[in-house]
Amino acid sequence: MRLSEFLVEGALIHDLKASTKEDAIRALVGKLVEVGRVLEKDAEDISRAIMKRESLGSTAIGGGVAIPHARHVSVQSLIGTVAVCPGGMPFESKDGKPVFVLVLIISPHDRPGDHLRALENVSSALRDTKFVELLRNSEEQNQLARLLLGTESP
Amino acid sequence: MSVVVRKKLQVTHPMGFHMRPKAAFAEVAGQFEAEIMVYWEGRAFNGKRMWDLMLVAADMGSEFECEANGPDAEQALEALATVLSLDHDADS
Repeated sequence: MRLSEFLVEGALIHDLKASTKEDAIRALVGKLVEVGRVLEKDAEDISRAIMKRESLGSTAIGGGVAIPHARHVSVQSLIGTVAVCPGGMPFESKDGKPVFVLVLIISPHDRPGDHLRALENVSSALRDTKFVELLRNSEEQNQLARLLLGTESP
Repeated sequence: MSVVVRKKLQVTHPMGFHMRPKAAFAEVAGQFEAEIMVYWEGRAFNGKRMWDLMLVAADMGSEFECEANGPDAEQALEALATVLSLDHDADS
């Protein structure tokens, strides 16, 4: 799945201010509620599912990137959003370094293939440290959207 | 003494080769001296690097080839086959 197929443009956050993992996850899920892609009644359960997954092992995979995710019955197709935390935040990363870019993914239960390919495409883009740096320096949401949604090869 | 061992590993988890088995794979691979390479869909990946494994979107039932090159190659492949056979939490 290409990033533009599942990232919700209106829910991107270019200047996340969060000091804990939980705050960050709630902010991202809250943004998806704000733009109508997640129902308010499901937000708490989704945040909890993502935190539960984090408790099994941090999804911060190094290089300043984390991919918090969960499956949830309320979504019919895979959706995601991105937050950039310019100052960095702790995320129990394997390399012990702060996280600057969070990609939150919510998948339906019955589409494991979509989940795997979303992870592949996110990683393909974010393993490039220069790209992460560009995201980190986004000064507005539009800029973040252009970088994430407008730079993919067809 | 350098030994090269190659083995096909099958993904048996219903969620495919998802993030937790990838992390466990990289961690276990890193415990061995042998170089570990994963070959999937015509591409080669370093089995000790999570960022490389993230690109292996192998579904349940699919296979990838794993090659270990080093004195503990046999043991490494055995351990990695075990990682794939474990029932990693389906939510991850």
